[in-house]
Amino acid sequence: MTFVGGYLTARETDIWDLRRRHNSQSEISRLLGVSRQAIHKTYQIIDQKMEQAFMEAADTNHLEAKTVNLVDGVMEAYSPAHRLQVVVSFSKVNGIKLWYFYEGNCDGCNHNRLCRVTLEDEAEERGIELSDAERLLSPSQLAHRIFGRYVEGRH
Amino acid sequence: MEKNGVVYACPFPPGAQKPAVDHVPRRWRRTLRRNVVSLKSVSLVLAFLSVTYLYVNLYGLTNTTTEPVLFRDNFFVLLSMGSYFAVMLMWYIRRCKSGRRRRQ
Repeated sequence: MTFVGGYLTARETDIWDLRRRHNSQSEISRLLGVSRQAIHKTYQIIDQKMEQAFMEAADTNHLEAKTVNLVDGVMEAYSPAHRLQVVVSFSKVNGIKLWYFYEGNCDGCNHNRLCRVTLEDEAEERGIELSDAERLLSPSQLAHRIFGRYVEGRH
Repeated sequence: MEKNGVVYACPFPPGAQKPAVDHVPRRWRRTLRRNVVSLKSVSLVLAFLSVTYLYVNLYGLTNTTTEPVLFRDNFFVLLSMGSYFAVMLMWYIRRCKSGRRRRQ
């Protein structure tokens, strides 16, 4: 259980992931061979832990939390220091990540490839199909394609 | 800095000094590491190997017969090995099934 992992255990992360993919409590309980009540209780624990992780992420990065979507693992926030919209994302593969909504200069950035694979994994996990054209976008544009949908119409 | 219609997002805040990147592992390696090489699976395999190794090495000390029957006639050893494999197989199948369902 780490901060990056949202303080979730492996089992809780699996359950959270199944919930995000629109599985009902009954379906998850059948799949994992446990009672529906156990899944219901685990939901509460997951929500508490994830909210704590998101709030800590906001606090340590001096962000103002706006909305938290615990099902999709996305928190919309605002950075007064940079005067930017920020999305804090959580996924199984990448854990907690921050995305500042501004034109990051990907040309010549040594994180270009790392960002790209991170985002491709993120899209795959979130069930977002990337077209060939989207795969050619710079990582900063790709990041907005993936996370912009969670804050669309707000900035 | 905030503007309408912004279509970019970056993991670093503006003006941040970006640390150097040493190595980005290939996708199949990351997938393998994530799905197969978990602490649980590695420790289970290691536990199995060490128990088998101990059994094979100590067999000479405990075998009072002249016939080497190592795995062949030892019912309890075979039973425990079979149970172990069955549990591992069930766990793996369940893991694969839930993984397939998640990808739907």
